[in-house]
Amino acid sequence: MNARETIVRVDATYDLRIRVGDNVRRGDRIADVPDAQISTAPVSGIVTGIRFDPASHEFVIVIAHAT
Amino acid sequence: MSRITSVVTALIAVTVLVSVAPAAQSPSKDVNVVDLSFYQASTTTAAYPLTRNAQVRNVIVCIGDGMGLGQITLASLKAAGLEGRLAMERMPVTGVVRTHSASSRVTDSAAAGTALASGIKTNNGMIGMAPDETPYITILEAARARGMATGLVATSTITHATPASFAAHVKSRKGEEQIAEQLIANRVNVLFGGGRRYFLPKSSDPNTGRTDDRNLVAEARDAGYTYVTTEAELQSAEHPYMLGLFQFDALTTASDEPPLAILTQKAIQVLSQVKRKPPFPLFRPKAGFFLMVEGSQIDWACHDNDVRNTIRQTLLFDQAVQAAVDFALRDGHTLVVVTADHETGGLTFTEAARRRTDPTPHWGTKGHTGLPVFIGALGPGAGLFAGVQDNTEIPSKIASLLKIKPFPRPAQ
Repeated sequence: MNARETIVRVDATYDLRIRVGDNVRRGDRIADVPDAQISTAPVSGIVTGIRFDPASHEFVIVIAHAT
Repeated sequence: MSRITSVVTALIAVTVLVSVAPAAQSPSKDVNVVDLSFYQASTTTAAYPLTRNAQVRNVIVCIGDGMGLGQITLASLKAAGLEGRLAMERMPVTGVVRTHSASSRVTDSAAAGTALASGIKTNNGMIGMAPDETPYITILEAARARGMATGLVATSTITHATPASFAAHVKSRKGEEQIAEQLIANRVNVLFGGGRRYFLPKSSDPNTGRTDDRNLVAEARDAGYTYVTTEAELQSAEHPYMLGLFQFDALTTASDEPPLAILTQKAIQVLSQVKRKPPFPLFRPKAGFFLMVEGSQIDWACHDNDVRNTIRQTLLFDQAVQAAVDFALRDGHTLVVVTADHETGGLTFTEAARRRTDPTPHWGTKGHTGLPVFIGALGPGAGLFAGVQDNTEIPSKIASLLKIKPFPRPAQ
């Protein structure tokens, strides 16, 4: 089985609904952002990394998923 | 197992990158191992004296990005103990500031900076303009129009959301390239921080943040700025227009660059010597100044839920506050306002575990919170900042003390 990684950037103003190790499904909300900016997991998989990028003031979320 | 990076577009700012991001869920760090050797704590709890019946000639606004009462209190306990106080805790007038934005109960630095600079609520992400994209004059611009010298100092890129809010007007905080152009065009006397990447032409460096070949450093020099990039250059330069960009990106807050307190001292030294344009009264040749100083990286440490760095960044910021207070107490005509744009991390603490001397920190989130923040003031007019207030009231109060009317108002 091949592993793929998808990286998602989310405005760091708002709280995240996920932690490293969480399983997410495509369409799951991943941050408590206002309704107009709904952020959802673009793929189903496991959250393998979350880091804060100060330059862009965003969380960089890594989701590992099967091909 | 092979790795393939996929390309995905999502509904918000979803960006496609390639490399593996490190797993970085930061655990709560041990407060006991903070290196505080750089910080000299006050051993008194006495408030600084009130200044009465003096005209406000200079204003210094100090903003701790993401700095809530938890951050201040943990830093204070660690550095000064129960018997001491940080400089910001010794302000003779204190109050509380509500921080919501036009679009959210939880603000970001762009909307909060706009509130603190222009006195209006706007949507998260917007800088220097109302939600309908009408630009509003900032307190810095209004002070400059009155003939005062102006300055911005930050440990982020100087084009980051908070400093940008005082001298730029853009729809998105991400427009740092455009913000850099506006900072220079706005003739801010002193610009100290990081972010050379937004001032250097695309052809000069593959990593530059510009998409064109404008060289804003050269343009600034042509416009009369002295450009410095090191602490030695900073200390030897003496000019009413100074552009100091000490890193390609944000400052490191480490020893190879001037710390925030030194940048603040230098900014005050430069701005306090700027002369009024003639004609001016012989007895009062100085222009007076407005200066904003930001401890940008308190917020960043809190996003990482890193207690040690949160304390360190708060103390670095407090050293800058001390520099502002020292000048204000000597000068007698300087108002110092210390506050935050918002709280980050939901930081609190409980009593220490057995055999430990420090409290146990707890984080509520990795994002911002809607908690109100601290405000402290010193100098003439400080009494206006007592009590509970909205963040939009702060520049309006400063404007009233500087006799700037009307404020807030749309930019021409």
